[in-house]
Amino acid sequence: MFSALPTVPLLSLTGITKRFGNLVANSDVSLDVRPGEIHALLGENGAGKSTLMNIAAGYARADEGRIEVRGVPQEFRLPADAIAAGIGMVHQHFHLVDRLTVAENIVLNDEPGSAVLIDYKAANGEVRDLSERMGLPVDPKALVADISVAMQQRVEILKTLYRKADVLLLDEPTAVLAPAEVRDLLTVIRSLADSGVGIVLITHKLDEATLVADRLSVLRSGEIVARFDRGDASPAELAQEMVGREIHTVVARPHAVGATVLSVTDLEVDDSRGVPALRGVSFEVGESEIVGIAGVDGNGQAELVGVLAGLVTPNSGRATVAGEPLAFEHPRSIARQGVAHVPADRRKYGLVADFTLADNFALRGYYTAPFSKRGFLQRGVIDSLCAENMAHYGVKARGVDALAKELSGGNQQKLILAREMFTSPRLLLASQPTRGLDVGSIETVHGRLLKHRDEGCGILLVSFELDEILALSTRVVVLFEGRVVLDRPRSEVSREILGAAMTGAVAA
Amino acid sequence: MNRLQVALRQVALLVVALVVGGLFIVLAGYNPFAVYGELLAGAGFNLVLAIIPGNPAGISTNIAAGNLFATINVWGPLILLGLSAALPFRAGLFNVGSQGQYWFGAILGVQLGITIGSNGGLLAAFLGAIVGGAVCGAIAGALKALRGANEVVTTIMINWLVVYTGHFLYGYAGPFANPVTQQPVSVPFPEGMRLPELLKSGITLHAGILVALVAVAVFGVLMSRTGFGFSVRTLGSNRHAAHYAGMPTKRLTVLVMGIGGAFAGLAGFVEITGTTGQITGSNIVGSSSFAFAGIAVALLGRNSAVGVLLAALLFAALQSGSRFLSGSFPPELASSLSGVLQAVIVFLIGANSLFSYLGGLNGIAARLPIRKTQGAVE
Repeated sequence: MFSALPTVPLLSLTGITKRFGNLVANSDVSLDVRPGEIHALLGENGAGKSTLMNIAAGYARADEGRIEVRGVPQEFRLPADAIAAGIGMVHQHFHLVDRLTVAENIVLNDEPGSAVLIDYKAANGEVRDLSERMGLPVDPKALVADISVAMQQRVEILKTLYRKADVLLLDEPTAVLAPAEVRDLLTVIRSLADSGVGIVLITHKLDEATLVADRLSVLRSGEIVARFDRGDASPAELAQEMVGREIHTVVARPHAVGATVLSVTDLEVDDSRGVPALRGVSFEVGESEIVGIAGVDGNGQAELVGVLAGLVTPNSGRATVAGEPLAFEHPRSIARQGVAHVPADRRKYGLVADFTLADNFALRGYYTAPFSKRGFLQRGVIDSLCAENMAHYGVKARGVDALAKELSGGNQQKLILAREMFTSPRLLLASQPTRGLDVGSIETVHGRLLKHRDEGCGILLVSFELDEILALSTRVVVLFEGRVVLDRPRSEVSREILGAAMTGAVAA
Repeated sequence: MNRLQVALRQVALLVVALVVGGLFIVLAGYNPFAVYGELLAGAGFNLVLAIIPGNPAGISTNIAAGNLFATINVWGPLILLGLSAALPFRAGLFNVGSQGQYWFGAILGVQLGITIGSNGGLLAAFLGAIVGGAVCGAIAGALKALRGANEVVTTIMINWLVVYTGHFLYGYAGPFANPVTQQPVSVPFPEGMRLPELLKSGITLHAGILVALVAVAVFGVLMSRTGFGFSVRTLGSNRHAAHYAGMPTKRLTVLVMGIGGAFAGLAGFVEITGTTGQITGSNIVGSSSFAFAGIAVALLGRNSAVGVLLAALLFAALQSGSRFLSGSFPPELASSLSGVLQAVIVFLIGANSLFSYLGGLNGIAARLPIRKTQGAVE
């Protein structure tokens, strides 16, 4: 380790302040990263982590404060300036061109060859060499559209390394990965650091941060509120610093399961490319039961929820809700059968970003009482119902006429949950209900799910977070390559059993 | 951005358009202030000056009122054409088919009215125009909903179908051409069945504007107060969310294009039964500016009821006022001038969207490869 020597930091941010109108996103924030070090930056959504990293990577400019690289003051006007100074950023949402190959993406704008012609052979060779040297194997000739999310992330990292970055800023890199992929990534990050690169790891996953980081800084409401060295803080302490109060981890008390609400039999579905995604799936959900669907992303979960919500057409198979055949392909009829749906992609499906909260609350039921009478919207009723339910679910906003896009992810999700539960459904399809949420919101959403379960609602919970599945589920079903490979009560599974089943290593 | 800011920005766009138009006038060697003054007077807007006690500007109230009536007569159809683009825009659909919908509505309405005769002929023409326009629009909507055909392409194709069919029907010896006079125009819509006259001052103000005002009111209420309008807005803002929420997205696509077409058909009804009373084959072919005037009105009016009303008035004034340019500008260039102004407005609306897309002035400044030297020394 380098920590014994007083090293000049690779990157140091001092007294950074950034305002957006009246909002102070960063207030006098200082952060540095030394060679060979992983510095974790923790904070809830909206704490100002991404703003700070965007300033460090030249995407935004600070109102006050200094940026130094190896002790030399810098002024980044453009991302290109930051790249030239050796700073590479991997965004949470990738910046790749789907239609180009891996190698083309990596060398983009810095291509080997003459001014006119690109030397593709050299590009492929250079990329192969680089990826082998860094322990990040990729196929240079594969199209980005054809490779997995984890692979795409590797391409993003290689892109920065190809530009000789020695500081890597990683924004929530594990948010999109399966557990095994997370382990791989953390190993790679460690070995990159050991080769002398400085890494800033933005995350709100506390166990990952405590596992891999040499130093940890906690950002809350735009200010650094705590700094720790490796081993000085437990995940619980970190969580408390992030939220500013004590966190109660939700523990599901068991509850008696009632009559069958959802019964799925031999369901077969193709994905959008026509490849079989579900190959004969059967399971049941009862009243007051939470069935957790575990599995690595892309093993049929999205298609399963899509079919049950009426958004995807099944090839064959049956599904019944309270004994009645499910109205496939008709989202509104399915809703009328008492099925609610919290979609995985809340910004694409769950909300209309430019609509007010009141309009978003009325999104499902706008056509019928009490939201509308003889075809005319009842604005007063909608506003008061929305306000009432927002208070009930703890949605923080300036009012019912705020726009959905103004809300944080957590508040958006609480609004969606409030809307979906408004009709007291008998079945809730909850797909990734806490993805991307901060600790406080996760606590609220989990509490709500359990409350609805206790009131008799059957819940189908799809999640890539094993902890979430294990904490909430009454039964656990594991999907692997479109088949149910495990279906057992929660009490009969462990993290190890699930982990094995998710890779297809265990038969049902 | 709140409503006031949006409105102010649209006004600012208009001012810039007038300045750019003024530069064109200067380039042509004329005085822009005189030309704009005459445009306003030609549109009859100088009538407000005549109200000043004593009439110091010496305005002829009769002439001014007549000019204003001419402007209002153009205003009505432009409102309706604006609505025919605005409603689909709200649902995220681009209706370029106002021209075909206008003429198919006009043809169906006029022929039906003439066939039925004095007893209910005007009502028949009114309903026929609505149905004709709606069918044209709904076909494009259905092709989009069922087969995913791009409505921009299909509406343009339908335009050509209608235009050349119309040209044939009312051409020399065409089946609907006037058999008595042997001319390439329709049988005149009987005088007694025309749209009622409201006022007369040299030029007659017909009831078309009332039809348009009712249509705007219906549009406004539909969009802001009904469940239908809510679903249309949802479809236009986020079609994935509309599908997720269980809205009948396919049916909505057909309905929205159909209603948009009905508005355009009504524009045809108002224009024919309010003014000439005849469909002329050559007019059908030379009418491509209709559809684009509607789109420009909808864009400038931000697809809102009030916005369409005001934007249509502006374009009506440009069209109507430019006919009377005399001393300050050559009359033969006058219609080109109103065309230039319309084009500049549409261009600025596009540029404005690009401007917002680039993140405003700050965003554009950040993209410029200019370096401040002072910062690096710090």
